[in-house]
Amino acid sequence: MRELIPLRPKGQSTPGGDAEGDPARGSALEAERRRVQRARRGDRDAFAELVRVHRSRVQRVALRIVGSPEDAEDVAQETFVRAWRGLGRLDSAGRFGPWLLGICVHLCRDHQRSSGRRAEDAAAQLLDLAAERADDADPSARATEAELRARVELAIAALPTKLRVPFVLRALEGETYEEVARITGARPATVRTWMVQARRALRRSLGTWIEEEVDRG
Amino acid sequence: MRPLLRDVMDGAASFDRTEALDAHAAGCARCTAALREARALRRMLDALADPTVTRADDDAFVDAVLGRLDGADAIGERRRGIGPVRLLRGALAVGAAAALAAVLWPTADGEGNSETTGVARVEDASAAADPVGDAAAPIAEPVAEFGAESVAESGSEPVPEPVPGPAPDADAALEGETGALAVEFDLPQEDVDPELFALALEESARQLDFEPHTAPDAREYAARVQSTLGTSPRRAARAWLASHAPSPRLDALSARVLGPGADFRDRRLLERSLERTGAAGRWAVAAQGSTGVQSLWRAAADDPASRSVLVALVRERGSEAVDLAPRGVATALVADVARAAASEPAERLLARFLETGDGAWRSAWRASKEAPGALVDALPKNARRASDDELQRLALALCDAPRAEGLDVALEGLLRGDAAGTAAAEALAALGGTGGAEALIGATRSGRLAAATEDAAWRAMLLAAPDALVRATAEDDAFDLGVDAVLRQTDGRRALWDGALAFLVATAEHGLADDGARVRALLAIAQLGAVRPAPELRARIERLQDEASSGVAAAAWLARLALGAPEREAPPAVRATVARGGPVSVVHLRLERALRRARGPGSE
Repeated sequence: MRELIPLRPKGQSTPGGDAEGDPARGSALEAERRRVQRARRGDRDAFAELVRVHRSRVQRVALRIVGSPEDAEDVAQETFVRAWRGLGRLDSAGRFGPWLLGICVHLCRDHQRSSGRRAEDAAAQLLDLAAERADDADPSARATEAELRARVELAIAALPTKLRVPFVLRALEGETYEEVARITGARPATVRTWMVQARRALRRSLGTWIEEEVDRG
Repeated sequence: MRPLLRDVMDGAASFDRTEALDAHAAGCARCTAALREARALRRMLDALADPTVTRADDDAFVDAVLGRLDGADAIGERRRGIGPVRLLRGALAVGAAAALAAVLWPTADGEGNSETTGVARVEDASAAADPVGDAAAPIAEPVAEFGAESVAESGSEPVPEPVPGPAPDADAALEGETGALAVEFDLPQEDVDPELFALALEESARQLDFEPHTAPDAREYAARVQSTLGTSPRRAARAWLASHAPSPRLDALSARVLGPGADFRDRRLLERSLERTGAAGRWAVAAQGSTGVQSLWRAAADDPASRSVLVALVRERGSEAVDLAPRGVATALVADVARAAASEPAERLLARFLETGDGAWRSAWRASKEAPGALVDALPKNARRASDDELQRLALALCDAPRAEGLDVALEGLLRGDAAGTAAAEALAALGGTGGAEALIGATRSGRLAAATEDAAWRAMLLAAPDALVRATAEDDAFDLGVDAVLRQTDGRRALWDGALAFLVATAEHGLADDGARVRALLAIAQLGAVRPAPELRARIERLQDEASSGVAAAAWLARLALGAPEREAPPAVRATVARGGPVSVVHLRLERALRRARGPGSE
C-alpha cells in the first residue's frame, strides 16, 4: 500500500496564516523569508525547500479549481517554474505563499479557459438535476458520510470558476479577504459578494443535505 | 447580525462574537435558522477529506520542478501536449511497480510456506512450479494493491502485465512433459510416452519417497511401472496430487491433466492444491467453467498468482470473466484485474461505475486510454435515462475528463440529440429542471445551435418545465434572451402557450428581473393575444397592476386586455403613466392606443 500523506493535516494552520502570537510560526516565516532571499540570489537548494513546503497547498488549490489530479499537478509544477523565473518581482519575501497562490490561480484560470467550461457546466447541470430529484427522495435513503462528502465536493466543483476560486481560497484555505482580493485582483468587497453568492449556490445544491446536517447538529 | 453570521460561516468568529450571536439568536427565530444552517454548512466543509499525495511523489515533484529549471523546460514546452507530469508519472509507475514487486510479491517456498521475497525468487519459484516455460511465466509486476488506491489512481497508462498463458490441453502437456523427461533422464524420446509418464506418476504417489530426479536407473524404473501398473493419466494425476509429495514439475503437470473435465472430487483436489501447482493449477481451476472461475476470484483476494491468471483470463474472455466475480469479492480487486487486463472496453468500465458508483471502476475507467471517448459515448444516452445517483456519477466522470476530445460534441448532443427537433426536446426534457434550462440558455447564448434545433429545444423546455426555465433565466440573468426566445415559439399549440405564459408571468413577477425585462415579458403576453390563461395566471397578472413600477403596472394592464379581461377602464397607475408622457416608447404608444380603445370613440 502506498504511503499517503494528507495535503493539509486537519487543524494545521495554513502557510499564509496569522503568525502573531505564535513564536514557532513566526520563526517558520522568518526561515521562509531567508529561503526566499537565498532563492532570489539563485540558490536552488533554498528554492527546493520552498517547493517542498508549499507544494501540497498549491496542488490542493489547483486540484479544487481544475478538478483533475493530473492537471492539478501540471499546474502546480508550472506554478513553481514561473515562481522561480519571477522571484525578482516578488515585492515582499514574507508574501511568498500568497504570491505563489496568485500564480497558481492565474494558471488554473488559463487552464480552465483552454479546456473549456462546457464539462464544468454540464457537471453543474447534472448536479442540479440530481439535487432536484433528491428533494423528493425517500428520507430513508439518506446519504452516508462518504456520499455526503462526495456531494459537497461535487457541489464545490460545480461552482462557477469565478466563485470557486475565492471560495476555495477563503473557506477552504483560510486566506483573508484582503489576501484573496490581492490574489484574484478584485476588491475585498467584491470577494465578500462572491463568497455570499458561492454559499448561496452551495446551499441551493446541497439543500436537502444541509437540512439533514442541521437536524443532526 | 449578517457580518457575524458570515464569520461563523467562515469559521472565523471569535468566542465573544459567537456568544453575542447565540444570545441574539435565542430570541430571533430567523437568525436561529440562519445560524444553524451556516454552522451545518461549515461542519460539512470541515468534514471534507483533504486530497492526498504520496510521500514518494514529493521528491519526484521537486526533482521534476528543478529538472525543468535546469533547462528541461524547453523540452517540456515542446511536449506540452503530453504533459510533463504524465511523462514523469509513466516512468515512476514502471519504477514503482518494479519496486513493489521486489518488496511485496508473496510466493511459496519449497515447503508451501508463504513469504515475501524479491523478484528473482519469484521467478525461480514459479519456474519450478510450472515447467511449461514462457506460457506460464509469472507476473513480475504486481501492478496495484487491492485497496481503494490503485495505480490507476495515478493516472498513468496501464502497464500490460506479463501473465501466464492458458494451459495447453492435457495431451499436449503430457507430450511436452514426456519430452522434457526424455531429455532429463537421457531416454530416447520414443521410449517415454504419456501413458508411461502417467504410470510413473501413480507409482510415485504410491511410493511417497519416490524422487524421479534421483532414480538411479530411470529407464529400468519406467519399464517396471509400465509392466506392473495399468492406469489412466487422470488417475495418475489425481493420485499424485493426493500424495502431497513435493515435486513442482509433477504438481503442475497433474493439475493440467485434471483441469478439463474435472469432476467434483477433482475440483476440490485442485483447489486444495493451489499452493503447490502454480499457474498451471490456477488455469486448471479456471478450466472448470463458471464455478472454477468463481473459485479463482475468491482465491485471488489473498493469492497474487490467482490474480495473475485472472488477468490473463479476462484478456482472453473479456467481460464474461469479469461478470463471474461472485458477490463478496471486493470490487476494487475486480476492477483492478479488469484494468490490468486492459481488455475491458472503457465504456464497459464507465458503465460499471455509473451503475454501482464504486470508485474502483471509476479508477479503472480513468486509467483506460479510451476513457475520454467512452465518456463522450456515454453522455447522451445516460443523461436521458439516468437515475439521480447515476447523474451524480456522470457529473463526477465529467469532472475527470473535462478535456476529452469530442466532449463538446457530446455535450451538444445533450442539448439536441442526434437530430434537431424531437431529439433536442427529449434530451432537454431528460436533463430536466434547472439543469436542462441552464444548458439551453447557455447554448442559445453561445449562438452555436442551429435555429431549428434551438426553437425545438425551447418549445420542449416550455412544455416540460417552464418554472425551471424561469429559475434558470434568473440565475443567468437572461430574462431578455428568454422572453425573445419564448416569443418565437408560439406555434398555436395550446400546451405551448400555457408554458410560454407561465414563463412570461413568472418573469414579470421575478424579483431579480429589472423593470425593462418585466415590461417586455408582459408586452409579450399582450402580443400572444387570444390565449385564455388559467385563472391562476390571470390573477397573477392582475396583481402586477398594483406594482409600484408604473411601467410594469401599465404593461400588466395591457396584457390583461389582450387576454380578454372584462373591465376596460385603465387603473389610475396606467393613466398616470400615460399622462406623464416622457420618451416615446413602444409601451407608451401601445398604452395610449389601448386607452383610446378602452374609452371608445372621441375619448381623446
